[in-house]
Amino acid sequence: MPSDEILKAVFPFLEGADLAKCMVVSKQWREIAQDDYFWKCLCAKRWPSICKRPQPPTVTYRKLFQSFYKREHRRTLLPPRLSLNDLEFYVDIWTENSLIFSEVVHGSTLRNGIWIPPPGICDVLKCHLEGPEYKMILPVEPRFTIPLNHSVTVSVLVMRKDSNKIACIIDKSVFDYIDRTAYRALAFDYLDFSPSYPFLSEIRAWISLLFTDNSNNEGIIDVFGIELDFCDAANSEEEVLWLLDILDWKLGAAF
Amino acid sequence: MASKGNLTLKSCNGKEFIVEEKVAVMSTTIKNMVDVDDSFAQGVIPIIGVDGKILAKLIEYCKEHAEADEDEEVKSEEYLKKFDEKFVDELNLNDLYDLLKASNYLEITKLLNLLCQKVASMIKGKKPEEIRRIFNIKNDFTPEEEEEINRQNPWAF
Repeated sequence: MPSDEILKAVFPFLEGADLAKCMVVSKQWREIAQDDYFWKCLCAKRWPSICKRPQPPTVTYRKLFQSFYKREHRRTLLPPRLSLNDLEFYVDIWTENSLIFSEVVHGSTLRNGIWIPPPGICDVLKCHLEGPEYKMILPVEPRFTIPLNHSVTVSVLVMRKDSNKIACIIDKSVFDYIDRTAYRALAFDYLDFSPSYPFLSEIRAWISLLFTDNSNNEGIIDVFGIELDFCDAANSEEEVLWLLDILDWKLGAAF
Repeated sequence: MASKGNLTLKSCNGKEFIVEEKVAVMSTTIKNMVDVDDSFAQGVIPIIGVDGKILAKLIEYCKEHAEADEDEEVKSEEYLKKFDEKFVDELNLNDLYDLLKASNYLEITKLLNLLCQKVASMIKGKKPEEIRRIFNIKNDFTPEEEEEINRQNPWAF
């Protein structure tokens, strides 16, 4: 077994990741490897100027090295502060000037994976719905029909019941892209974020109408579902909840 | 009695080695002794805590390097590199430790660096489990302690 003397001589020759592993080998190794002198040497190689300070800039040089030796490209999200159960969506859809769909949708009903697409939908749409991308889907029952030549607009507000605040997700956007192969009509709007996040922009909320052809009339489509997603930035329930959490929430009514 | 220009080194188990001064003073510790007190150069220098086997190894290394330092023609850098590689590869774990301690005590910097590099290379890129196996170390953490350490150190793995 290497003595303390040997470890003290060898450890300065190690890279940080290896030295960190030495801390897990045994109590003797841990005792020696956590000597901040070795970590100061490692820091001095990476950031010589910060080691000129009389004291370490963090509690220990080890902490400094661990924090910055590698950029974290993919961070693990903390549990969201918001739950789908706290959310209530207000979805309104118009053709020209008449309201054709208007519902209060509880967040939990949008949870991914609880809805089975109805039979008879096209394969491309089925593929999309079964795909791994995170989406929130609202089944439309009974279905409604839309004449293809009409302009269709949508607005979505959301309320969070934990603090009774309201935010806008989509403000009068037009379903101006109709994907005939996927049987989806799409609209989007840019999200408004809290002033605490002034550099955040260009993240969209997407809403699509999922439809089938109307058997009687070629100029009409039957809408059987509404999909909401934030695929620019969020691709899981947790990510969506974090994204919604930082919207520009306005005070709602005091209940 | 060593002839002029030679020193006698005596291991802890009584073995004596007569070596050229230029070889012996590769050790900073010996160099300091000789520089400070001329009588060392005349008599026998005891090398405390280093046995004959290890002392012979040390002398073998210092001889090669002292000669190379003197005449680069005869022993090129290439040759020394090969010698160093072979030298450390032939050591078993205990000799490696003993030699490392001895070169630390005798301040033979070049050899100490070589041996430390060797041990470091045995650690590099290995998992803690593998390190324990290589160095024959018992994991003396309780399962709870180990879990706690892994929790604090996720970045290393």
